[in-house]
Amino acid sequence: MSDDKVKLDEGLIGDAINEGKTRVKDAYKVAMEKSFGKTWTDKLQVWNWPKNSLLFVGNFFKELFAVKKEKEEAKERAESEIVQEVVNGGETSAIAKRLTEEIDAEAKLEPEEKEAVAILVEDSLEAAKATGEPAKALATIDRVKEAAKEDEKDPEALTDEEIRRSFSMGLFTMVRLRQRFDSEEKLAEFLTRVKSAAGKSRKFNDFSKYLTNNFKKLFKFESGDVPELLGIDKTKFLPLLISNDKMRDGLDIVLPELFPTAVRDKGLVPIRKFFVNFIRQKRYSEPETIAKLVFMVEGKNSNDMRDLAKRIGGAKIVSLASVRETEDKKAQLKQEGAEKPVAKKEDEEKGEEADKKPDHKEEEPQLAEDL
Amino acid sequence: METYNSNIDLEIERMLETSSVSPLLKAIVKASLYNMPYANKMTILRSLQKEQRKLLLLKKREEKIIEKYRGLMENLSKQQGNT
Repeated sequence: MSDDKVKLDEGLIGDAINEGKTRVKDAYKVAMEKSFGKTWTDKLQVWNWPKNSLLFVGNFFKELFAVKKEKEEAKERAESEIVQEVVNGGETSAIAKRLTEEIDAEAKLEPEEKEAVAILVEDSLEAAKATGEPAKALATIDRVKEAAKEDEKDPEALTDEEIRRSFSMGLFTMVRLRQRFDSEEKLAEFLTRVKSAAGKSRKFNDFSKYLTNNFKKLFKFESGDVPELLGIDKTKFLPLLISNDKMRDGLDIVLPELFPTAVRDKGLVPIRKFFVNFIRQKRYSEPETIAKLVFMVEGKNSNDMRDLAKRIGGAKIVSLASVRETEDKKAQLKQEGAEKPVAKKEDEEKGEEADKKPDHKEEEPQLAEDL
Repeated sequence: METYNSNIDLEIERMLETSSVSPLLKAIVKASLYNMPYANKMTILRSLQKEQRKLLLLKKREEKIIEKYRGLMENLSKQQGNT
């Protein structure tokens, strides 16, 4: 049998041979069952075909695959057109709500999960509207549905493959985890499995971020060291998140400690890009946070980063001394267990003054040029 | 703007039953029909009809292929029997 014939069914015959089907006829039968189902092979009785017919079998496959491919194309085309019309013609939040109800009926979601499902479904539909890629939205919603169902299982009983799949919807898993793990050790053990199953995927970054931000809310036990709990080398945590380019609130927790490593591992350019984006989106405009950045930059002997910090921080930049003073005051208050809010600190006052000033929008083109 | 039209809704639901689109999409369509503008419903209906016609043609082609090869195999079997 020529190599061409083996390739005709897109590898299935080859797989069958690798699985131990040494007779070509048997390999064809297995491949055919996988491709078209048992009914077809029964109908055609491939195994009863005469010995010298195998030359025809290749062509037979080829023709059937062409039809199958056209069927799939027709299906995809119809799906694409229909989803587009649905998202254009309907209220996405209403559709998401109704779909969530359906998923809930099957998977018995917790209230928090239900909320998360509704958001994910609506986001997918909105994304389909914006990008014109409805197939992707459909696939995401399908995954949400599957993951919601899978989460019914006991997490410790999941296989690695199931973890990988379920993990892609980490929000659900976390809600379930809270209910099922009563000790930090057990959770840590499970999270190590999650990490090994998920690898360095983007989803894992999202998951790490989610866990970092919500740990105390999710679990009754306290752990300050989420990266360690996840089995991640702490020095690698920030670069991981930065590569994801989606880091938000988790930044404050890990940034001071890990920033120098991130610069070293990733280089200045991505870090600079990352910060400029955050400042632009006003996610990182708290005076105290900018001060932390300056603190770190001053800690590093890097003129580039110092310049960048000054420009992106604008008038909000405060001195290293005042940052230290603020930190000291905080530590002192914490020690004393004071409940009163801290009197206005020097840096905050400066920050407020800066807030009163007009936005630095005119600076943005310059920042864009830097990138 | 008219959004609800029982005839077109019923027709879409009927077409969905035999369509090859995923069950999830079927659920999405059903969930969103009530508030959907007429024009969008019409486009969905046309897409479903187009898909249906295509599937019908492909089914016929499939049957022809099977018949062709079944015939070929029968001939081969006869030839082998004769030799």
